[in-house]
Amino acid sequence: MKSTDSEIGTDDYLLQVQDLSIGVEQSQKLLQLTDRVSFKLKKGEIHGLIGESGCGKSISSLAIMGILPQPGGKLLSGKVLFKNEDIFCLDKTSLNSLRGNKISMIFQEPFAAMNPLIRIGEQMLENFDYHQTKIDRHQKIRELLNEVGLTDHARILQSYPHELSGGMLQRIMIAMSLLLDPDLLIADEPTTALDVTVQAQIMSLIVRLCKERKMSVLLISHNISLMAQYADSISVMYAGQIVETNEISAFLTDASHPYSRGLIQAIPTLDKAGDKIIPISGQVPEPGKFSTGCRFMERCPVSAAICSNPPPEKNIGDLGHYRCHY
Amino acid sequence: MAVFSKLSKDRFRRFRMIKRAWYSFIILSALFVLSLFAELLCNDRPYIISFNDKLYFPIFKFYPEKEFGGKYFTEADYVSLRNSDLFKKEGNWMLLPPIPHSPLHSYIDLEGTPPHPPSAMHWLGTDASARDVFARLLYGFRICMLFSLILAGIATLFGILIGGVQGYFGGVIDLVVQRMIEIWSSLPFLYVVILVGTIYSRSFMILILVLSLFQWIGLSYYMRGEFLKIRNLNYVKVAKTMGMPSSHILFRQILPNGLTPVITLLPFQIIGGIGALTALDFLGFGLQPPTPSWGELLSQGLNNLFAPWLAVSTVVCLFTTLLLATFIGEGVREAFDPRASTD
Repeated sequence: MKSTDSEIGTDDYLLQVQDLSIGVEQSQKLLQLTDRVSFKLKKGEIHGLIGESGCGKSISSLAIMGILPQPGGKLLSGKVLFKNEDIFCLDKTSLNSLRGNKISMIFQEPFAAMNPLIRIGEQMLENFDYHQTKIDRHQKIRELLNEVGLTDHARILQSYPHELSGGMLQRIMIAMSLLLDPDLLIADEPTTALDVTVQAQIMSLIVRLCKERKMSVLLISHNISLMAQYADSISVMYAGQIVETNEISAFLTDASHPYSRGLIQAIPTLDKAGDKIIPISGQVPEPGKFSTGCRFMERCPVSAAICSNPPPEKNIGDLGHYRCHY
Repeated sequence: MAVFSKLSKDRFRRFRMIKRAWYSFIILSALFVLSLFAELLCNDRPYIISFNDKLYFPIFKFYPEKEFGGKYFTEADYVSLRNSDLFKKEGNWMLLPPIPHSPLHSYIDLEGTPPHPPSAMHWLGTDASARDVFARLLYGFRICMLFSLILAGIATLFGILIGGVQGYFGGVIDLVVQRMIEIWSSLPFLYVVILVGTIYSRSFMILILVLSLFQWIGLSYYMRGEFLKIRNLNYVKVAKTMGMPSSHILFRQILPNGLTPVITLLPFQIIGGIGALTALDFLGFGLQPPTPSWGELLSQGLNNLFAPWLAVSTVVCLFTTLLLATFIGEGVREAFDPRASTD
């Protein structure tokens, strides 16, 4: 399926998420979780998706692989184009051959992401079972374990998940997601469950692998310093909507949406030491309780009467855009 | 296969530490294994007969009556043979099993009228048809155990399958199946047994079939819950994002992690099976006579209150078996209790 978007050569993009709206049906009521989410990823690019908990980041990222929330998940509108093919138009078999193979995912809690009853080695090997490859499986596993900095192969492969530490498991998760050389890696808060030193190791590992393999990464996090360090471009999500998208450097110096500015101001830095960190007051509204106008209105420091109308989308430069009345 | 994780080993160790349950398990298993070889232990066919300088092995081989000087081609009656004048000659001998009675042989020529009270020959006496009660109890135990094990196996399989499908797919499938189970479980079970038993014969397989139509329901509720819980865990999501098909996710990822209710309920399923079979036999809707059965012995005991050895021995056997199984069930449940975990 060819994209209708023709301003830029669409083939440049590995992944295009267009107007993706997802809802769940709960006790006969439809709850919209994401609202017309759109972003694009070039080959070899690291794109950050940032936002507070519960604003639809993980749901959108799972939807990229065609997985909707269970039970009752529904695709309301939009499409996900991976290599110009709509994920939601694929049949089950081709979808399964895509998952893990072309697109793979790292989850945030390594302990929960491993089956407690299966040895690591078996869990890794099983990923080959449903994809056709000609590579030497054991060789590949060893190579990748080396790459993620794990050398004690025999012991690790024989271990059950509970016998290893969180950092080790997260490395194994990364190795596992790279087994079939995916073109797109979705890293859903890959370092949240880890301590800071391991965080840095894991992130630089992901970045290095991304550059070496020309792999695109969708980096999902609520940690803006992480984004500042590793992402090439960024999308800010708030209450199921993307409120701002831009190159990372432009975003950090000159964010346009008040929510983005709030996020940046909330980063503790050394040169601001002693100053009070300015938090964004209030909480993300629950799905189903979004206002019809600007969803950030209640927490916005610059909100005005006009904000109860849906905010327009405005461009910043060539690549960026944001959604605000100001 | 990595079925024995650290957790499973822990649970097994905890089960062994509950002495009552562990010894009950050993005793019941030993009795069951012993009963599987009941033909060798308790039989009116001798192991070896030396008759007119020829050796015969009746326990393993069929010999017509003619071989031992009878008239017919039907199987020789070894009980009458060992009392016959023909046999009581020099050089003839036979090696009998420790309990030389078959559960089906009627000792009609015993003195008095059946049921005969316990004697040196018949330890627990004979029943109303002059059959040895001990032999019938032993064979009855085997049938009871086999019956409830097979029944528990089938019920577990169906329970897992149906509960699993409900829990994993959820939504409309769950709703529809749940309503159907509710309708199904409101069928009066006893009438179905009587009806099916009347139309078809009341054989072992038919009874298992009818009972297994109902036995799975309880387990399916538990399995549904387990699958509902586990399918939302992250490792199932990981398996999905790795492109694994539903069958793999169901049987490899979820099922081994959701087996706790199966194992904790298994002893109670077996108890239920024993109880159901005995009750049906007692009411006369169970296995076809002359199959040795505890329920039938109980009803004989009720009809022959002057022969207390019938009811007492059966009740003691039934009580002991159910008690052992209950102890095992308790132990398993305790061993699987997550709150009892020491670490």
